[in-house]
Amino acid sequence: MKSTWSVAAAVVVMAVAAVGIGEAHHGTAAYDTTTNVTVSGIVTEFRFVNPHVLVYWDVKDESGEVKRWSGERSGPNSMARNAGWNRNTIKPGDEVTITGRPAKNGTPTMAISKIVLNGKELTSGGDN
Amino acid sequence: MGNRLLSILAVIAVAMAWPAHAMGQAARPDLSGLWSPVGTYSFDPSDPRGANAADLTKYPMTPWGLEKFKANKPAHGENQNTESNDPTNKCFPPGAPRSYVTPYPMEVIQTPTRLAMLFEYDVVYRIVYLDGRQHPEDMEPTWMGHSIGRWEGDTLVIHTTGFNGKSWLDRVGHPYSEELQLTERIRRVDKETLQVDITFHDPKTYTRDWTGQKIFRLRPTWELKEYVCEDNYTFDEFRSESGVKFVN
Repeated sequence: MKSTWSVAAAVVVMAVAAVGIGEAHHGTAAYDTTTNVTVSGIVTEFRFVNPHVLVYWDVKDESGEVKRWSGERSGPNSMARNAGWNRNTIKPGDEVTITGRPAKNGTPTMAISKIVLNGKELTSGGDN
Repeated sequence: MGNRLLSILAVIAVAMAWPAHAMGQAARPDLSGLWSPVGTYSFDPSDPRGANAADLTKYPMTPWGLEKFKANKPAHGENQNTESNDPTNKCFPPGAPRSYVTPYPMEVIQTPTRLAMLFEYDVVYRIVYLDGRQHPEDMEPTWMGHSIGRWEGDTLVIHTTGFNGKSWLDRVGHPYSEELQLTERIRRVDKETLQVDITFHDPKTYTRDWTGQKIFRLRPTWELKEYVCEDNYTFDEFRSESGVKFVN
């Protein structure tokens, strides 16, 4: 667990064509929709809530410093209908590699488009 | 003897009930079902993200309407704002017709005398009276207004008035006033598609009537889920934790 946990935060910034991003109660104006970031770490919390599900995960950089990332995905109702998600889909301790649109203001937050959970990509739930 | 009397009474009861039931339902399409909207921002299927929301040839606003439109800052669509004043951000209900343009489905339940629209978003409903009544006089203005419907062949024509003018017509900021009257023509164009054509009449906000359309797809395997807007306030915590400024 520790060894996987210490996988360095692979922050890959790339210009990527549009990836579906949830948009329900608020828009995507807070995020930079021209780039994606990919960040790996260990889940600390998963909230299956409206308007969008929230994921929190700890990311360790090369110097060993831990940074807490957070991100939002689509709404829980559409995630449940379209992808079978529920409140237990992601658990604290899970290893994740998460891709999304980064916050424009540089804080470690993103609008999530893809989650690889314990080595397996989670099915998307659409953009609601 | 007692049993025979009961049987006779039962036959009479069925005979009395049957014609009303048959006349009320058999000749009419059933719009019941769980329907999911296609596109989420406007009533123009050719402009789903509202890129042409300010086109006055499409949306013929009066000076009063234009002033209101310019003050509205949508959180969604092509012209979204980080600082939005969308009334639903504060969990005011979307009202009619905006309940059609959330990304969430509605359940339609039809009886001979009522059509109920149950909206997932914010757990709100709309009742359309099909029993021939008229609008009440001197209505209290409301978010949903007062709706009466009648059948024209396979099309349900709904007229709604009595609005409070406090919401937006859609998610891209088109305003309306207490003078709004909606005429909706709802038709099940095939088994899995519901088409709603709407005429917007609001002389205070628009110089002429204009039309819009919403398409819904049948989702026979879905059930309505709960979406309580106030749950969104969990996002206040997310905002403060992340430091990302979202809409207010």
